Amino acid sequence: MERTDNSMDQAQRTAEYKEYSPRESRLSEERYLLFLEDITAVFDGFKALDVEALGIEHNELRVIIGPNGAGKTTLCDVVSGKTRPTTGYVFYDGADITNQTEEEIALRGIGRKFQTPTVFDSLTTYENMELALPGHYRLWSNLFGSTTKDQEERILEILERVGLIDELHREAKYLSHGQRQWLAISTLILSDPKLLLVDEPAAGLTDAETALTAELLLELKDDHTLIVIEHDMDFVRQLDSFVTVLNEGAIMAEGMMRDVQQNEEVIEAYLGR
Amino acid sequence: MSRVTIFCLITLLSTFFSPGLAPPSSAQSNDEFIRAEVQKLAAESGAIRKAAVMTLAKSGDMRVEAILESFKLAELYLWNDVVVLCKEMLEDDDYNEFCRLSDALTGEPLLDASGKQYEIPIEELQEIAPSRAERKLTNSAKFLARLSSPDREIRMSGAKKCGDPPGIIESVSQLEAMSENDPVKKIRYIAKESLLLIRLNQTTLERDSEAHLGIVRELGKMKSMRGLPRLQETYDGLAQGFEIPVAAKDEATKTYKFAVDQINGYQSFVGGVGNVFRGLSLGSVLILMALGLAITFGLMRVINMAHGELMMIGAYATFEMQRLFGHSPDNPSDLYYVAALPVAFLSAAIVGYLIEILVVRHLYRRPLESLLATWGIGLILIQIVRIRYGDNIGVNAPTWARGGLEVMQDLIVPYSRCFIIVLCGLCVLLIYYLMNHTKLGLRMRATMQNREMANSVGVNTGRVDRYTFAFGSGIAGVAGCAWTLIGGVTPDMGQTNFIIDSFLVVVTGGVGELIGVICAGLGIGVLTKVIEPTTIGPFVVGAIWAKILLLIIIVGFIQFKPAGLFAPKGRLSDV
Amino acid sequence: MFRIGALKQVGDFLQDAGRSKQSSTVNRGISFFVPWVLFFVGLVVIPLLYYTGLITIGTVNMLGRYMAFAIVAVGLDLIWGYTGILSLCQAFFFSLGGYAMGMYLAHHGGPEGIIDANGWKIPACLYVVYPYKVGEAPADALVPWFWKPFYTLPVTTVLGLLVPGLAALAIGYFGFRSRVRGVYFAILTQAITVAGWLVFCMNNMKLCGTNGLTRFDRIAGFKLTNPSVKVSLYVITLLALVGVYLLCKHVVKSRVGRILIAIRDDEPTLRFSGYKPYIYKLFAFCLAGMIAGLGGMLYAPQMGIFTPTNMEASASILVVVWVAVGGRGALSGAILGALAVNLLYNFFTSEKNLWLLTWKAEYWQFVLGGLFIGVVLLFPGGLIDLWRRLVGTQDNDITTYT
Ligand SMILES: Nc1ncnc2c1ncn2[C@@H]1O[C@H](COP(=O)(O)OP(=O)(O)OP(=O)(O)O)[C@@H](O)[C@H]1O
Ligand SMILES: [Mg+2]
Repeated sequence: MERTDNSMDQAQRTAEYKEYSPRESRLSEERYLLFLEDITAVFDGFKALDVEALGIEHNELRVIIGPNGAGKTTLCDVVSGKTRPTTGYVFYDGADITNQTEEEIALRGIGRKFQTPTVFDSLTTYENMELALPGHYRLWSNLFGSTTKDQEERILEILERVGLIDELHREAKYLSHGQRQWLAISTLILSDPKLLLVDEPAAGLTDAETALTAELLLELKDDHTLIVIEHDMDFVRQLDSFVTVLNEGAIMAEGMMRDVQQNEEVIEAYLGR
Repeated sequence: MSRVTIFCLITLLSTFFSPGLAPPSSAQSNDEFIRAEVQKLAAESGAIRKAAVMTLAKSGDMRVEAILESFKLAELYLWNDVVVLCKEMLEDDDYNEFCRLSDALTGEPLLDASGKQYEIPIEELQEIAPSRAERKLTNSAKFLARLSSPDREIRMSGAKKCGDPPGIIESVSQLEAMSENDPVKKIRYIAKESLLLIRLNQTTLERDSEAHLGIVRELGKMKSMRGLPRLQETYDGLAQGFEIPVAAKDEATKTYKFAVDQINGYQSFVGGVGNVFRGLSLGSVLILMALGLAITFGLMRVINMAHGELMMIGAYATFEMQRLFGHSPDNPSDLYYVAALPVAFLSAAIVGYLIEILVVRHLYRRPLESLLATWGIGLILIQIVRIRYGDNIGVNAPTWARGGLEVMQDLIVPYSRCFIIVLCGLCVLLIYYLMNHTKLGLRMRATMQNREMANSVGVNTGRVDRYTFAFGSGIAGVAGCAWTLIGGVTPDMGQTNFIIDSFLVVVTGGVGELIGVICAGLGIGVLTKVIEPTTIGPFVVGAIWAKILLLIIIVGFIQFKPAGLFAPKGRLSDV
Repeated sequence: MFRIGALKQVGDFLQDAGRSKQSSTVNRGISFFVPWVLFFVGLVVIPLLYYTGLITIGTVNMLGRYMAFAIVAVGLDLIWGYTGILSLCQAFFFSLGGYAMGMYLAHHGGPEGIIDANGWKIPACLYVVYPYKVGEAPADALVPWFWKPFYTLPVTTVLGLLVPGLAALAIGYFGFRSRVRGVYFAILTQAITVAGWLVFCMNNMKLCGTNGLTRFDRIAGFKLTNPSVKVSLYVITLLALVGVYLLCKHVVKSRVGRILIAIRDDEPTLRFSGYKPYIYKLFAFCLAGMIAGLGGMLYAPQMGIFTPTNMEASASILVVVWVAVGGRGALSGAILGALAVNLLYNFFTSEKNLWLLTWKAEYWQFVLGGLFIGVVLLFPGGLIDLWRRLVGTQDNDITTYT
């Protein structure tokens, strides 16, 4: 695949990807939390995703951008187990998770926020949050356990932060789109996964709210790894992180936002449109 | 004519001409000849009577069978030295018995001068009573007589009967001729089979082992179904080690085994093909049912549990048409079925249309609710029909759908089932054409894929739904009409027999494409019919266990393909 | 660690939350009172009416049977109303329980039977299977092995719960494992019910064929015809109903209840939160199956006969209509619905002379069909929801079904 040289950083990283193969190094490499190798996802002969190598390091915040239909969501689907890749491997934390189920992958610590915010409509905001509490996956503990004071405090803390505290006992189906977006982000944060896949967190939010989202994500960066997908360039700039540009399923460019922005190819494919 | 000449003549006839083809040299002389023989039936001597029976049997005249039957039943009497027939006894008030006389040969009433049928007191008649041995002989002679019939069905049954145990030895020469010369292939086969069976009886392993085994071999080669029980019997005897003083017992056992295996192999092959065929026709009905279900489910995400009742309506519409045309087995009026097909389609389609606008319309994308509501509709429809028609009605198939075509030896495919398969094929083609080459089909597919989009580009999705639903219902009606050819009709036939099976077809096939439903329908139909008669040890699987086995197979299948054979594609396909 | 600055208002909000939680428990709606009112009526009013001679023992017995149905309905509400899985094999589980108890009753049934070669008394209804008349059983007729465990009441009770539970486990395992959902699951369970019905109808299964289990006589040594035994059975059924109600109430109030609702709303998403939905579905399905089995066990002695008609396809869908009429997603609705529909059935299946037409029992099918359509089209929330809308109270015990 042809790549343009944006910066030293990018060239260096790409070179490293190309040499690196988790399979060959017998999963001993500790550098990457998530590594996609030779991943393709083909639907009905249409190649939605074709990534040769993509590595996300520990505690990295990676932004993925790309035009509509570039395969960003499909990438998340592949990582989270929703879609089986046609070929290739997904390595996470030293293990091959390519063929694991959604639950298993989630239990390993990969959390996800969907592009269209998914919340449980018949449950109240508070109950939605309760379900997101980590460590309550066993039937027994759910049958007899109850939420502790600490957990309750934490839930209220987050909801307070995102301004959902007034909606505590309203069923989620009555929430507005923005509120659902917040609730989805809140449940993701509450569930405290190691790796967060955040698909368009700022869609449908005001500028102030977008800024808050960016702030929240940056706070998380300290001890989490994040993959953030976004169309809103201001938001991406606020995050100021390493960016991967996807186009037609393949990685087109990688680098810091300011460098990527200068890339002719990217401009043509995406920014210029 | 002297007896010798007659005998020579008969022998000549039967040896050199195929009997059915032998035309009576002239009707007049033939009549005379037969009358003379009939007269001999009244002879004093048993030997003459027997000879007469045989002569008659070989005469090739069609009327002989009736005469022999009368002779056997002692309905022939001697009156004024003429043999007459009396089938009817009258009794007057004083308990005197009278006989109504008919001509022994023609069976026509014998008329006196005034044109009235003779009624003669029984005392004036001399009874002709055949002995036991004669009765037995007459019985075989009857079949012998059939061999000479010009009618192929009668000839065929005669050829068959002659070979059935114990076998009519007298027929050998005639059978030989038939097996070579009869114009009908099937009759040649049967004649040869009968011949071999008779010879098998005449020869034994002990005396003429070579000839016997030769016959066994030949029967095996012919894959004779009728020979099987006898071969099997002897084979079992041999295998169980009966002390048969046979020179080469191993050889005999081997020959028998080979022949039995040959026949069994062929029969199970034929049986298998027959089952597959029955399965195909059942599958065709299931497909007709499932197509409507799959289309409406794909289009509106509703489950129509009343679909079985729409089929039932089709069947009852057929029944009504039969009544209207006055069709009955005795008085066939085959046109009724031609009218019944469109009527069944229309009546089911109209009811379907009503169901759509009254109930289903409000239940889009709520499959579980639609399941309940349409089940309720089904209950109401069943009850209406039950009150109107009672619990059981009979639909008589039109004459052309009776019987079948023997495509191979012993393999008969009933016309009714052929018709159903063809009908199903036509419906599938029609649906394919409608879906892919018409405006309605285009609109339908558009609505199926994205209702809102279709709506906004000007497709009247409501109308598309109504028409589609009505069309699917109509196809179910056609299925009901077709079903009347091969199955019974009751008000709850849909609910008990079809709705679940056709849903299983949809589940297995997937709602993605027509082809899925077709494959699944044929698969389920054939599997059902193939599993049903299978034996496990001493047990026959039977209809119920076949159903359960099939269910297990389907559940197993779903483990691997949860969305069915042909899953709907795209990322919004999650139901 | 992600930290949000400790806001000073948090304390206030905590209090707020506490208050609103309390208020939710104080503000009880109809769905809370219905079971207790029913319980009171059932335990006090009905026996009172009986002992004062205002209603006959037949009525008490009938109500007892309807309560057994209500038990099944509560189970179905758990799996359908809360979890959103339409199971059409509750009648099958009900019958498994019923057959278990029926076999126990047949063991101890009349009349004097034949002792087989192993010293077991052959239950009278089994003669039909053999098929010899009473007193004609030859020496080689034996009590089938699977009849033997059901000789004692404790074992029968355990098995009557266990067998439907295991059946549910098997069906659920294969169904949920392959992610069969929605109508597909409904159809599959329907097919299983029909298959079960066919098997139980077979004579050579030694389950007494279509005649069913008959000639019940005694339960735990007491004669079933005795009115006080009937009243006792009625009370036991009522208590069982209350027990089942409380059990299910606990389940739906616990986090499991919320998970079940989440499954109903959006099962795929739940997976990405790390829950294994099929475990919870299996749990609810098995629980519902065992509850249905319990209902069957209580129904058999009160009915005095247990036939395969109890597991016809239509019987399963009938359970669904009870729950739908009462109001799915509210356990009390299930109870209310089961009682209401059955009382309606009782009312409409007797011949009546109305003004213009004679009402015949067979017209019940029209009423039933109308109920199916009406409850789906006009009152999707059922009786409970109707009442709530009329009175206009907020009700926190109901999860509305949309
Ligand atoms: N399950 C599926 N079946 C068929 N095609 C699919 C499926 N999933 C994704 N695709 C196709 O893959 C392509 C990439 O889709 P994807 O949703 O990943 O794009 P995206 O980058 O997230 O776009 P957007 O910015 O609009 O969200 C699209 O053309 C889509 O149609
Ligand atoms: Mg996307």
